[in-house]
Amino acid sequence: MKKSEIQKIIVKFINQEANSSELESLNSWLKKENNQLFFSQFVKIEYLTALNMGNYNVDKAKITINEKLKNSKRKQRSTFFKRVSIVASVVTLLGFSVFHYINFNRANNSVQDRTAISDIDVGSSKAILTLNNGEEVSLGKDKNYTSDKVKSNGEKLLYHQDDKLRNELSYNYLTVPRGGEFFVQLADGTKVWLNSDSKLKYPERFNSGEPREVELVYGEAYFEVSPSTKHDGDAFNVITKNQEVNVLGTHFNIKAYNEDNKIATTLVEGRVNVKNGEVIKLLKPNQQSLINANSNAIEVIEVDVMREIAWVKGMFSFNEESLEEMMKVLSRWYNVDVIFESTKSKNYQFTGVLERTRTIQDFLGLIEATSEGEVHFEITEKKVIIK
Amino acid sequence: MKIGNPKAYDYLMHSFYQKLCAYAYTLSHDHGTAEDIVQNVFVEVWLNKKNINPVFSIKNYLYKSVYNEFINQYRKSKPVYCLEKKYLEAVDIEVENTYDNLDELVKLVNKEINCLPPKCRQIFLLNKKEGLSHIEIAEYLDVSMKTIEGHMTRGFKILRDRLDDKMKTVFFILFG
Repeated sequence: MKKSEIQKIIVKFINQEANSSELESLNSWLKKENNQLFFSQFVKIEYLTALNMGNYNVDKAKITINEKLKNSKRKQRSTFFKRVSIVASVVTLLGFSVFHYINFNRANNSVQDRTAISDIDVGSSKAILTLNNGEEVSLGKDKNYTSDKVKSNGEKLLYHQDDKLRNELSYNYLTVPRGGEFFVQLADGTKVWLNSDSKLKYPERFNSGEPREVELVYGEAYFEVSPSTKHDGDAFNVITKNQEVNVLGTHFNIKAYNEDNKIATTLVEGRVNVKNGEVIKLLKPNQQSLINANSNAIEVIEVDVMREIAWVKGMFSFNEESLEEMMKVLSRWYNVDVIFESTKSKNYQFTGVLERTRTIQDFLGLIEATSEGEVHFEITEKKVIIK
Repeated sequence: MKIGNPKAYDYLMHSFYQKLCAYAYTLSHDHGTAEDIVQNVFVEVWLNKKNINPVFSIKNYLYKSVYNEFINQYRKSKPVYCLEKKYLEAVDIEVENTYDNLDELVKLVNKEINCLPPKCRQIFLLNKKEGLSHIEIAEYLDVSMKTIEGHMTRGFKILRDRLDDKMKTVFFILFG
């Protein structure tokens, strides 16, 4: 049957205007499951419209209810049947709840059951510090590290500027693996949060009178830059691939994963200049600049900054995000590989906020349970397969 | 509520009366019947306040009671057709699905109804707000039944398309 024809019949049916032959054809059309979904979208419109249209008077209703109550009290002794119906309704309700409970558990268990053999850890503080002599130090929980310039308690790395001597700058690298995150406070007091799969290059100490310069080699980092006013006006520059960000003391996020082919710089506070070759754009708070790997243009859009930097606060935050993009984020944090067996599911959109301390099973279970059976996950060792 | 606090009862009325009436209207297609059903449910709730199991969510209890009342009282004479059953199931699913961001969706639909083409909007509102049947609208506006059907279908179709994006988005519960 043609789509326009069936739409007309559905609407007539909802409006109780359909004749018997129309009811007949709707009935057979609804035997297909896809069609039911289409049908329920119209039902939803009817229901939401009813919520708009109804002009029901609560106060009048209270009076009517009081009258009905008085009448029913007189009749109460003879209402055995009514009781039975209430008992029935409670039993139905109980059945209903149990059904939902089972359903819910099934949805939840399914991912868990299928992952009994795998063990995927939640991301945690870990990183590798590469010193200027090439020596590598593994940082993480219960691994303290102290030298004359820097100390770490396993969660953060703190540099201190001890002298004002001009020296040749010596650089360190901080590499955060997939499944990790780390915090570093540079010698000038600038704070940097590094997300999973990210690498930062910075000097052990800065020279006064020269611009402070660090490089986000790849990945995502959130900067709270110590203001230039505290450093005799020395500017602070962040270099990322072909992009340069000049700042004067401000808070911003740079996201530049290699697989994304673009650099997103989001300003939370203050002002920054984003430079791509010859092109320069000034960002204001709540703006994000986007640079494509193979273009000199800088696009500027308005964004919800709290969502962009939710990861700094230990949250995932998605707003109508496609499953494909979400899985990229999850794969970095939980250090898993993601395989889409159905390309269709890449485009499913989700909205929500979840703590990063939850397990990947929790997360996938929620998506599965809310996707109405459209998305299925299978986890084998370090792989998530989307059916 | 369990001990029969009138304040709790008031609260219930104010938080649920409108929503339950809209639900009952979706089931019964009649505003008067809808109010009747919901009022009966509240009478029952009051009379049975001691027997209500507090373990169950009051929201689920109320919606289920409205449904039962509709089936028991107003459909007594007619058997529930297969098609009707599908409709009722679909309504229940949508009530459940939309509950968490209902206010937002209602506002959105309201906005989109106001944006319908004028003729389409007029006919849509005559049917949904004033409760006129297709033939009553056709007589009132002096147009053919086909025209009414066309406009009604168009109205639904536009609203569905506009909400389509929203519908594709699946919301998951937030844990704080």
